Amino acid sequence: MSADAVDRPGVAGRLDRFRESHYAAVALVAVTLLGFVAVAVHWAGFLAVGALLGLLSATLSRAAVHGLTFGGLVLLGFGGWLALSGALATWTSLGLLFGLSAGAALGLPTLAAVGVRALR
Amino acid sequence: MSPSPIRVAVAVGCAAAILAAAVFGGHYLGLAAPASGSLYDTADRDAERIENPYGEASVWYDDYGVPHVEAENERALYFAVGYLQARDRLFQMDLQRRLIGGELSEAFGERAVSTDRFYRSMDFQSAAEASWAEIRETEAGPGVEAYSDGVNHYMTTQPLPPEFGLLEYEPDPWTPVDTLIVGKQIAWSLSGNFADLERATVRERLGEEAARELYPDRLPHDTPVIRDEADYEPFDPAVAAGVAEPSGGADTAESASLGGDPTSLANWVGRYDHQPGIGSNNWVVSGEHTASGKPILANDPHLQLTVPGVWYEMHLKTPNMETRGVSFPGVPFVVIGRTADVAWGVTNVGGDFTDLYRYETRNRSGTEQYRYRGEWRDVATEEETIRVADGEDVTVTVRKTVHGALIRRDGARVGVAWPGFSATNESLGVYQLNHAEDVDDARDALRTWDVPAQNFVVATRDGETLYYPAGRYPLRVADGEVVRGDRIFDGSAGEGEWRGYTPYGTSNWSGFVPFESIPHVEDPDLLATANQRTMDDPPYYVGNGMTYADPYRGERIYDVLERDAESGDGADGGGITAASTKTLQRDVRSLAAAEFVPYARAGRAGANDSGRALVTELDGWDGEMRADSRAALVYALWLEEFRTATFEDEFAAANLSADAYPKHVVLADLPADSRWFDRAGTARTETRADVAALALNRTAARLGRTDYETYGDYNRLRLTHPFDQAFLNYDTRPMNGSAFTVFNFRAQRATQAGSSWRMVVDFGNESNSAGVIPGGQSGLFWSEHYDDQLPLWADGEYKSLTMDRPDGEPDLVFVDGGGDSEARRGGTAGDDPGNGSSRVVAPVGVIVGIRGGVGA
Repeated sequence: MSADAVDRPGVAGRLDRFRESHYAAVALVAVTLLGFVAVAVHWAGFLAVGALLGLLSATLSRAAVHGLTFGGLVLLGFGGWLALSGALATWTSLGLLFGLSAGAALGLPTLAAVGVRALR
Repeated sequence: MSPSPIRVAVAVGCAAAILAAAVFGGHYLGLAAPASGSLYDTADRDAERIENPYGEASVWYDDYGVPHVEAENERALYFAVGYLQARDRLFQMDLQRRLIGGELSEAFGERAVSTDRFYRSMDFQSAAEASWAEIRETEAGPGVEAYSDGVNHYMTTQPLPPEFGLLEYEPDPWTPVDTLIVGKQIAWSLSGNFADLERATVRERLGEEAARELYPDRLPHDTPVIRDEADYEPFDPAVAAGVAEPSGGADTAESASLGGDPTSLANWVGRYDHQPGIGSNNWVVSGEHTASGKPILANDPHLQLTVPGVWYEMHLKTPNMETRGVSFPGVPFVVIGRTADVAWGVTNVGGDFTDLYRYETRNRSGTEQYRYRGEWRDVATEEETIRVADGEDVTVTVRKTVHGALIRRDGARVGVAWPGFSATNESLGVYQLNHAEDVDDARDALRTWDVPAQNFVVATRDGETLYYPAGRYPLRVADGEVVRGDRIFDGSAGEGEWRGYTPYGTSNWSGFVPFESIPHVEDPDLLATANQRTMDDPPYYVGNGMTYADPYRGERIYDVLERDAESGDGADGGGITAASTKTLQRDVRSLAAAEFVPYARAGRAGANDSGRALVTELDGWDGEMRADSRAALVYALWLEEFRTATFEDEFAAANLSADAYPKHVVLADLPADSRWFDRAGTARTETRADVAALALNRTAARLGRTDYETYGDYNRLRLTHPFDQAFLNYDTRPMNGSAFTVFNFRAQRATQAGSSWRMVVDFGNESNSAGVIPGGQSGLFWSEHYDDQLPLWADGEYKSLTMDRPDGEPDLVFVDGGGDSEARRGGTAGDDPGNGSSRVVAPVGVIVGIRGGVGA
């Protein structure tokens, strides 16, 4: 059990136990996969996925890592799609807009994950 | 157990950051967030199947993104063209109609209000509506309608270009009037001219003699377009202009005036008229002088260079027609190009097609009136609202007189007459050119051409050639005789009016030069135009020293063509070839330099050490304006300083700007002891050599202040998107060429200009036909065709312009959308000659981007 977790009653306790179980990893993968779909629909998908990742993370630091990992995976996949479209170099040359893209991908899910996990 | 205060703080901080991002950056997240951002909607487009209500069409894109379109009928074709142009250039199309319609402020905010005021004041919208009312009844009308449908189909079914998201607006539906107004924009940019106002100001400030000397009726050179005999039917301008007819109550209104100091007015309108230095080259060579024995035609129109470029290339085919060339986005027809059998190119006739009128005015009970032929008339007024993004709406009063628009600024007012205010038929003209099969077809198409007057050169596969400066040439009457148009007429007295001209309505053009009486050349062996004087002694007034271009490009083209015709590099042992034609389009030899460099040398004695050293750098220079040339840099800077040092004292003292300086050939022609070389405020009387020395010294000082090493550092390509963002602008690079070289590029003004399309058509060997644009086909910065032609263009290279399309499966397919049978039949002459109207109506357009930048 993680250092910041203690035995809690009710739903919180069940959530703590789930986070430490093998099912947590499966759930993280599922959320990540669903997250790819969600962010393709709306940027708020980053927040929703981040929140779920935070909920599933065993610790605050893991929540941050999961949020950043998800954002990184999205960027990787999106960059690959742009590369296939011949538009990767153009994307990276967009200046502020590129910064906003990368910042949104990495920042939004991380903030959501950390924010949710901070509430335990 | 409750979370610790630190964790609560972390959670609240994260929530606050997310909230701030959503509130303040939500729009931009919607644009740029990976995967969902609308910015990326156009980054990757799958093969599309599009429903076409007019029938089937297929599109193959070649290696440069040029669409090759084949359709079962013309309406299906032009629907596809509308869709394709919107797919590649929709934002540019919308910007152009906003510019000429005076609606830029709605997208760009307050900085565009001054520009909108001007264009609203001219009411080009009504002029376009008048044109559409005529065009819609001709064989071109159905094509324009189908084109609009195609544009709108794209807009409603496909993602918009990212610029719309960045500006936070969506384009209105495209209408046929929008296509016509794009034509008006082009026509105005080429033939709108307030030179008369400028000349009047100079005359008032510097005197009649100075105006005559600096703005001569005829520029001092011997190379007009038509150097030998011209073909035309003699006519009596006095009869055509109606001199003998009753004047209808004309009187002499002694108090007719501009109403105030026109300086502010002239400065304002000067931003929106024909831009100095904009010109073009074209030439046609018959089989008599080509190695192949078949004609060769070349054209490179020089326009403002924009991002994306002003032209859109396309290859269009139906069972009844085939054409390839370039059009302005927003126009469905090929404006410059070829059919299978006929090629044509255009340059601007540097004539005087805008007249200005002063009036006696008064105010009666709040109504503005002007005196006209002995009676008082109300100025027709209409209040219009300019919507301003992030700002207060602005109201503008559109005023009109019998002559056209009445524009005012700071108390001065002037009536403006321009043939393009009337219904005109350029669209029909280009439509007919797109169907031309021989030179007679081409001539008939030019007969319908109204505005702007253009130097057309035509060549056919059968070996025919033609030069025709087609357009509407007004005749003016004052004091009972036909007069020149280079003055501000007394509008109250009915002076200088154009018979048969109805602004914002339908003209019958009865007081204009008949088509057959326009001097032209049938079957020329070798003929070149570069916006210089059309001919030495035309049978009527065409233009003057202010409206025609300096002669240097025209002289150089004729020199080289004559040399090549004699000795060329043809395989048959001589004659002009496509290769020699392309070499001429790449030519950077400046005849202006040949004229001015001796003047610079003459300044050596009076220059300081640094100035004298510069003269040494000109030794042995061949006059070629090459990017890597130090001598070209020295010459170019010196010429600027020489011109400024010659005129700055007199012009500045008279509160005249450098824009009013005379043409370079006038400067070159001034005697060495001309009074213009005498510097104000000095005891001695300076000569040309003294001013040349001063210019050398200034040039040396300027070189010391800059990091220029060679000409390319100064003559640098910097093409910017209207947003002027690095990722949208084209790459910069040093450039060969100048305003006076055949290879045309000049960087020395706020907006860069040069060859906007280079084309060579060789009927002796199809594979030699070639063209290139300065940029790329696509206006989408994601596209590999955003700027893929720019290196070719800058280096003077070409891509193919044959009538072949790519092999294989089409990239886009327009499937029959089940439109009604009549729509599918079309109604255009090419599909059903019986349906085509025989009405002869008006002409075209040439588009330019936003002159001087938005709000300039």
